[in-house]
Amino acid sequence: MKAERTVNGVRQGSTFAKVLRTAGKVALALLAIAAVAFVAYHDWIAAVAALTLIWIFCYTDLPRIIGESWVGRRILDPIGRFFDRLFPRRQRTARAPRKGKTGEAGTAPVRRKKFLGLSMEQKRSFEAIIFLAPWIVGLCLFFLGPITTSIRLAFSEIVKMNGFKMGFVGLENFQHIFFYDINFVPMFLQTITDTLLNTPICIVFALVIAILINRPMRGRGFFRAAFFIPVLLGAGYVMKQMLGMGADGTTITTGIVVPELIADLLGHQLTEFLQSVLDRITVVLWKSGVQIVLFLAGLQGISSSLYEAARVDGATEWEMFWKVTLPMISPVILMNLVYTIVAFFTDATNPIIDYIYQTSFTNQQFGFGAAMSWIYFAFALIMCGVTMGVVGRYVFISGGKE
Amino acid sequence: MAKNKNANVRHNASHWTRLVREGVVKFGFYFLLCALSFVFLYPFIKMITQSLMTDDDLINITVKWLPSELTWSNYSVAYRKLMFSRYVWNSARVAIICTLGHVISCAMTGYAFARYRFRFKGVLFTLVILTMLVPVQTIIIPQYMQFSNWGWINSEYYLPLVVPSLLGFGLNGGFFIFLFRQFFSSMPYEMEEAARVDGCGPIRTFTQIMLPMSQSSLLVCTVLSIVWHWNDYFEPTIYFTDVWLKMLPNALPNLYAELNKEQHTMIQSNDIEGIMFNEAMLMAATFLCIVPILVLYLFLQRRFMEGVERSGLTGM
Repeated sequence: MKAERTVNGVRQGSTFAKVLRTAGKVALALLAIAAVAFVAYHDWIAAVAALTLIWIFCYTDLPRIIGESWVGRRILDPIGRFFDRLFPRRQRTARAPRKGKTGEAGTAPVRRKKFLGLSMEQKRSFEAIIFLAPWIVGLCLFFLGPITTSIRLAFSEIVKMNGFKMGFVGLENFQHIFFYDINFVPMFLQTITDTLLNTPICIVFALVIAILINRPMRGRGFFRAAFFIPVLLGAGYVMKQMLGMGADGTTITTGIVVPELIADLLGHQLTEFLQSVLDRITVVLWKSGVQIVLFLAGLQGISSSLYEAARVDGATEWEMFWKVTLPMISPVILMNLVYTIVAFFTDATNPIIDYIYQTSFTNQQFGFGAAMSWIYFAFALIMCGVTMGVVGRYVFISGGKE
Repeated sequence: MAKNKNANVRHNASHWTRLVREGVVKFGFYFLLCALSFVFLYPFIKMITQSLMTDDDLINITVKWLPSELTWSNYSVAYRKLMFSRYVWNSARVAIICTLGHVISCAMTGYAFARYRFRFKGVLFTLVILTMLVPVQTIIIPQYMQFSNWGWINSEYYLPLVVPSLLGFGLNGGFFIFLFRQFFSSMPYEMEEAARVDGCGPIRTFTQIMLPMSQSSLLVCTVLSIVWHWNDYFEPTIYFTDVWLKMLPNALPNLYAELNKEQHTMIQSNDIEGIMFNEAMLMAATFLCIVPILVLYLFLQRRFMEGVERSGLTGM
């Protein structure tokens, strides 16, 4: 029986196949090295080209395609066989039967007509490339590239402004931030406490409001529209002005004060804490538009049969909230938490954002600014990670999904 | 005692007591909602009323909400000083192009993540999440250097904003990809399979079957993206320093600074009579900036909320 030994569809026997496979691997390795080098030296177009080629290599198994194409069968294969004849090896494999001329119909599997010699599976992933291509290019240009540069920049300083030549300075930037700069650390701590306080308030209020406006009621359209309106004001300059405005000098949020009776009972520190919570509630509410929208989407996704079943079993509204609603929207809560943390960290009204902007762009200390923003991001990432780790344990995932 | 009374009510459960109890609950519910929506509408109401006040009204403590007379001149002055007609065109151009790019590219990427299996899918999706998490501030400096090397700073085609959005990045691109992925994975497979059997290619399946089916989700992303782009302040400030290329949110601070300076010089020159309070005009200018998207939102809000409800977010 003349069986054909193939690996990955390339015929094992001929030297050509071996050469082609090795060449493919070498090319892939070279491309990878080149891509890293291109990224490091900011030759973005070349880097994108290299990464795209790697991508195509990985997905389509290029050697195989060439091997099975007309060029491979008619030109490269004879060359390979010619070399085989020149340097004969001990064991010789039989020539592969040509398509359509095979006598033994049983041995050759019936294959469909192919596109570029791809199997169904590979064809599907080739289609995925079409859809992913723009994003992959963007990933290299606007994410991976800047991120690597940003890391390099954090450990160096700009030596020459023209063309942004960098010089390595080690940990100097970080030392400067923590030991010399008087503004960064207090601002940083302020931002952290703000985020830690604002996030739970925001999530709880957003959830309550979403549940309230999700009920059937009169004027539903109006209430729903109203809750999204602060989002239109945005987190940008307009909101910043709104918070600090007022002809009589008062800001918009100083209105709610803890009553004296309660203040006496609670003591000074607790009152101050309560006051700070009350102060920020209004602001936080305005920034919770997107969260409310996400919660609404989540609430709508819960199938009403669950509620009906609970009602038949005699559950009250309160019990239904804890036993049905909360577990079902727990994934949305997690997503919302992460979104909220990031949103508060990157909020334009944060003093630290202004500070980073000023050091890097007004004072032109790019390396210093990059180091600060990395500390900042590291903390955001840690917070998101902790949230995901802790809250993720309690997230209820309904069956049937991976 | 209370428990006893409650039991009594339930026992008797006469028509009227039940009606009253329900009425009280309903009243409380609507009261809570109205109070909350007042909090949400507060900045808008304040903005509108204050923008219509005269200088006298601003000083007068008794005038809190309703201006004694409507001063529309604030708006005309703000319109002129802000150079609204020039900047609104810039803003609209950028917002529309960026939003289009965002919707198309994010829908494509989300579709690939929802429907295809490929190598490194897990890694790539983690990268999507990471693009959501990384603040703009972390990558803005190298971005700026990169763009200035390419000569994109102050580009009149707004390349630094347009190109990233066309490639699925830019403002909250990762968030939209995530949203589209959730939406597409909640849709049934049957339509696509039927299309595939009938010999429909992948791109045609996407454009002619999936996109028309996902109108609601497209609308949600369009509204969010256009609102965010319109209000974006941080990135445009850095990339566009040219006066002609500024957008509305960037033009506002200039107006503020200019008006403050005017006031300052007047105070210094002891021109007490001529001192103007700028707040009314500032509020008018701020409101003018919001008007275009406010109108857009009011037109789209019903369909937007419907779209939100259908986005299939729970099936994560």
